[in-house]
Amino acid sequence: MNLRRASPEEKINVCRKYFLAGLPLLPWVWIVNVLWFWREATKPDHIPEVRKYVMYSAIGALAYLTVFGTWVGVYQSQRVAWGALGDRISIFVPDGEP
Amino acid sequence: MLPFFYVLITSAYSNTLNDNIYTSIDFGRDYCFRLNNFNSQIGCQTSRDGDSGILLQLHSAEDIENTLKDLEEPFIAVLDASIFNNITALKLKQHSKTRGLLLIENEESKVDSFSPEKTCPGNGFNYLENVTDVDVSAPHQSQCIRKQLWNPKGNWLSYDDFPFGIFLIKSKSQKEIILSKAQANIENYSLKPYPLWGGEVRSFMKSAQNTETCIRRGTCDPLGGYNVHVNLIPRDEESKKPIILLIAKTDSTAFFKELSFGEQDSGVSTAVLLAVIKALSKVRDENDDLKADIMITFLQGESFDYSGSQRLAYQLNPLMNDTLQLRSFSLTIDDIMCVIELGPISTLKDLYLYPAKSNGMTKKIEEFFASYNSSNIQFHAVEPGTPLPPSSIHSFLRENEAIPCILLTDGHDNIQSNVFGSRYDTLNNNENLVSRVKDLSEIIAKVTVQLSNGTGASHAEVPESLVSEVLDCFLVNLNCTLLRRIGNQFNSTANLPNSTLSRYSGVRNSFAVYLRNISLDFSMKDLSKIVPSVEKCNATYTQNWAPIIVNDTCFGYVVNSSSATSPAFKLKDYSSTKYSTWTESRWSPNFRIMGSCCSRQKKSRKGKVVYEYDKVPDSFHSPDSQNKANQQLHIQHISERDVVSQDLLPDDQENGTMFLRRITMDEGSLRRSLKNRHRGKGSLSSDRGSPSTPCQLQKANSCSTIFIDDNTVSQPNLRATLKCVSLAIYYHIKNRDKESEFVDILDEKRHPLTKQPVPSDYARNDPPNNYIYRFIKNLFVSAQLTAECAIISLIYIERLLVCADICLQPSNWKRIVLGAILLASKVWDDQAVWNVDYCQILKDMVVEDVNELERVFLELIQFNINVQQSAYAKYYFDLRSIAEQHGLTLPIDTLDKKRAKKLEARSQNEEYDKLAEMVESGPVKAISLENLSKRRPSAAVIS
Repeated sequence: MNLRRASPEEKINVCRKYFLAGLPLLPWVWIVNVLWFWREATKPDHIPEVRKYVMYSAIGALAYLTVFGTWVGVYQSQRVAWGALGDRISIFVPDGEP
Repeated sequence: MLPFFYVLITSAYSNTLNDNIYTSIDFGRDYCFRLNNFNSQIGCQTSRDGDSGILLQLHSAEDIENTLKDLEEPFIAVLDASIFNNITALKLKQHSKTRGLLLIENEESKVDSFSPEKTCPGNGFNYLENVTDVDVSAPHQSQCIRKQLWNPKGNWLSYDDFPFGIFLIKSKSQKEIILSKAQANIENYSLKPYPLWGGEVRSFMKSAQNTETCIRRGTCDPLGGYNVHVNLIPRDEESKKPIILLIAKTDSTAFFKELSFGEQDSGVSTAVLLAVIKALSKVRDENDDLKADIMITFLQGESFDYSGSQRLAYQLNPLMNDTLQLRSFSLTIDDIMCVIELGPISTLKDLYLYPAKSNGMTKKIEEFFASYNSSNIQFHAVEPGTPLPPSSIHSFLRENEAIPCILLTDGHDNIQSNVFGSRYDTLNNNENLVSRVKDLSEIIAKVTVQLSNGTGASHAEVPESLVSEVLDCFLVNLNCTLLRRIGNQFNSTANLPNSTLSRYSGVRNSFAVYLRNISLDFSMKDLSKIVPSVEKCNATYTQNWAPIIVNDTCFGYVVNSSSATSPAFKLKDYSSTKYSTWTESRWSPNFRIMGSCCSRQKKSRKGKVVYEYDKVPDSFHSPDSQNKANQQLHIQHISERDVVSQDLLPDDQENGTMFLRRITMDEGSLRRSLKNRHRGKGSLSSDRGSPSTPCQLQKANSCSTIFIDDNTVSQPNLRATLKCVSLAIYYHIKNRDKESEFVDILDEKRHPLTKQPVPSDYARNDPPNNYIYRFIKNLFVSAQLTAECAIISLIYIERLLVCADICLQPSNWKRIVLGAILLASKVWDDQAVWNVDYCQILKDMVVEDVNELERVFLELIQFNINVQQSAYAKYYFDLRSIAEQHGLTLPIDTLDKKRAKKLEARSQNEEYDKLAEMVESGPVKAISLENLSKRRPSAAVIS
């Protein structure tokens, strides 16, 4: 889709679809949405609908990545301390190290 | 499996680049591996892909200090084994660039004092000690709970955890290679830029952290082995006779576990106890009424926090759900009158008696021993209140502190040996060893009889020659006269290794088997008085004795074995602080790369020991399969398969099919086949018109009429093929060479196909041809298999017969045929029949049985399931020929238009495929594509 030629309805439609597609915790879809429509959403004569979906996507992606990143950090540093639980929630347990 | 070490070499006479770059060094068993217990890991570990560094020879502790001060490159240290101790090891461990350690064993530099063990063996697992009292953060020496140090020379090296591999180099050629490279490095070191010689070591251990973790992840196995119990006579449980328990530890340990010789530690005491069995058996044979039962127990796993004795004591405790089930009786701890343990007694001169708690019984034992004092052996009672040295007795006291126990050892205040727990623990300079062992064992036997009956026994004697034989086996070489003689006597075919016994108890060991066999030989009793005849030498007549026939005489024995794995594993309490929790890591053989596989292949072909620790089958853990324990498990890789055996396969181009040979063996059939062949050709033979074989007119093809049956290579007729295959099987059974041994799973009696038990003569009566046909037909019809499957099955059957070297017999044919059909349908049908479906067809089979059958079948044919086109065709035509010989030909019919079309459709596919292949691949430059355009759907339904 060429954003310059697309009609506002089309833009809103695509933007909303991307936002909805990202709802089942798919932050990459949201990030794509943000990257694609960022200029569209911040220019002076932006379409409020588009801006709304872009902002929601940006906030959602950021929040999700923060939570996910925290979890990875906690898991990596605490797995050994969790013992049996740590092994159970792991798919791959390395050999030869704790 | 074996860790390899690669030295960079630029000029070697080999073919591959890898061979030109590396020299691989096979370390055999002389490397250190990882063990775990409830809170720690000990031993060595390299990284997964191996560690590499420059070779650096170091000569002393100062040298290490100076050289390593400003070394920036990763290095592999080369060290004389005699200077490997806790100081040098610590320096290397603290250096961040250490990647490996090669110890050069030097026979000249004799080490007199080196003990990598604890200063207080069994720390925390002794009586009145609790392992939770150990201050783990403190340095080693002060970890001992008791202040008295039994092994003051101990430097705890075996209990250290090294993040690099440590290897021992003994062979001269290996030493030369490594030392020359290390020497060259010293000369070139100042000349920067390098090149310097480098090395790579790998021995990657899978387990980590502690036993709880590694058991959870399945990366380690509990240490243990087996305890062997010898009773002089079967115990009568009603009589409640008290039991005198004579025990000795039989295992030992070392830094390099496979070099645990432990001759001073446990070698002599084991030999003495074996001689005691002989002496007591003599007393028993002369005088049958001993007032107490005497049980002699050899314990294993004692070097690892007493796992063997802990298990025994645990089993003796009636409250625990793990009774010691010995043959025809069980024991509890209350039956025990006293325990006498033989500790390290290698000097056999001044022996000290340590009572656990001084009381009447121990006083009596001390008195008895003291009465046998002589210039050779002196017995001393220790002053009351002396703490009991580390010994198996502690485990019994922990279960029940009231048992009178006494320890006999040559250590006073501390252990006699300076090399406890090291590979230098060998016996060298003890004169009169044989006579001293003989004297001591006779004294112990006499004291035991005195304890039991109150009076001395005069005829407790052991021949000196026998003592010398026992010592020869356990201290010099396992391939000794005694074990060979016993092996012959019991018809055991196990090979004896030509080496000194390694006493490391490990996950499994064959040591217990040797002990069991020797003590069985020493303690067995001639039962010819109570057994009517040798034929009746079985449990009904032998009155609780286990029967055994040796040299046509009936003997009885009471020798049992039980697991020596710690109770912690029985209780599944892997972080137990009450019981021993030692486990051995598994390690992966995946470092076998780059040409080194060839050396391994040679090794396995010679039939040498190849350990495969990655998979420990359950059978090794059960006590009854002990005899299997010395048969090493070796799984052959597909690439290592012997090429020779491949040539012998019946479906190979050069060889004829087996069943054809079997048929020709049958003379009558031969004659008949000749007859039929003549008839087939239409010639007149002399037999024509004889009453037994009425002549049938054979239809012959002519220019106008073609007679043909519906049987082609690509579409064999099912019924005819099945008839032929069953005929082939019939002749296989009928003309078999011999009755051969075969695996259980193929035996119809042990794994019946029907609920009704097989008739008693199932192994003798050959099944008739039509019975075989019905059996096969039933399978094929129910499972809707095609005729090709039948031919492939026959190929598989013959492969099995060759590979496993067995014959089709009345007892096994059904299961072999079933297995072959099962496999053929799985390999060659696109939509194979499931194993469960066979259980529907053969109503009384269970799916586990079918699975097992399939597995064994595959293993026996070495997973060789490929069938060449040529082999298939050969079998097809051979089957056709026997069909002709036996008048099994299909009704032939004139080839009319309809049948011709059908036939054309059948063969058409093949032809087009061939043509297409030619077009795609061949060097043919021009080819007409006209024929290809004729491709059309077949005119017949191919089913």
